Amino acid sequence: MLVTDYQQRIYNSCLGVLRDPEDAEDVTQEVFVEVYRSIDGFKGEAKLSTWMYRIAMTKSLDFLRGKKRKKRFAFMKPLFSDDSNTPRHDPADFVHPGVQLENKEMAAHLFNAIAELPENQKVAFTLNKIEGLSYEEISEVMNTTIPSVESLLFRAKQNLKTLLSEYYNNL
Amino acid sequence: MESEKDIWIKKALNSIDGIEPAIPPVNLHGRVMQRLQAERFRIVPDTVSSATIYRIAAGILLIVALNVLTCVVFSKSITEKKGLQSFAKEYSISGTSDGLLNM
Repeated sequence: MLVTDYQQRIYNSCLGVLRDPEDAEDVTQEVFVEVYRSIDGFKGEAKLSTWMYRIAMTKSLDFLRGKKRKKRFAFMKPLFSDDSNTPRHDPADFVHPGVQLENKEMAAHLFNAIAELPENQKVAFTLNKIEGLSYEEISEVMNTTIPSVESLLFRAKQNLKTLLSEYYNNL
Repeated sequence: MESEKDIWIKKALNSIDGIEPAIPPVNLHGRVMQRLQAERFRIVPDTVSSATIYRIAAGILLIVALNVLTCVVFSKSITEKKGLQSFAKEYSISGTSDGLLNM
């Protein structure tokens, strides 16, 4: 059964990008609905898992963009509602449940930094470090070449170092 | 020699080494299946293009507009005819334009 076989992988990959278990659950459902709607169009040129990862990453990034748009206009909400008790800060630092206990604090900083990466780098890094996909598999998911994936991961790492350096300075 | 900062950054970058996959909540499978069932019985296909919808709406508007126009024109002619007839009745002449001309 497709859902049983792929549910954990899709949920895990969405969680790596979205950093919120509830959002990851919602997007996971959307992924399987999209797979159901588009299955006739799947010609088998790529592996099924590749195709599903591609949908998962697309849906996750779309979700993030939508969230960003809502945030941009959130300042207008108090003008129309009296919900002054709603806190307007971001949720607490996300820690992936699969991270080892002794690394949780550092991992929170890393996930904050991953969230700041450009989309392509974020996807490549998540698929490589969290999903454990090879460069070849990532290139198939992202529909690009292996050297491009290598470049994306290199730049992601450089950007993460810069961001983590800023976090360290603010400690 | 690595600084404290470099060590900290390296530690952060390596913090997800050996990460285990997250286990989805128990009810997620059920919720996905429910969504797929609902998808299976969707009545409105999303293959109807927006252009088709606009064309249908325009057609309905045209029919409504024609009906309204017909009603306006028809009621105007009825009003005129009634006016003519009541005038003729008042002055005991045939309620036609010939009758009026022969007054």
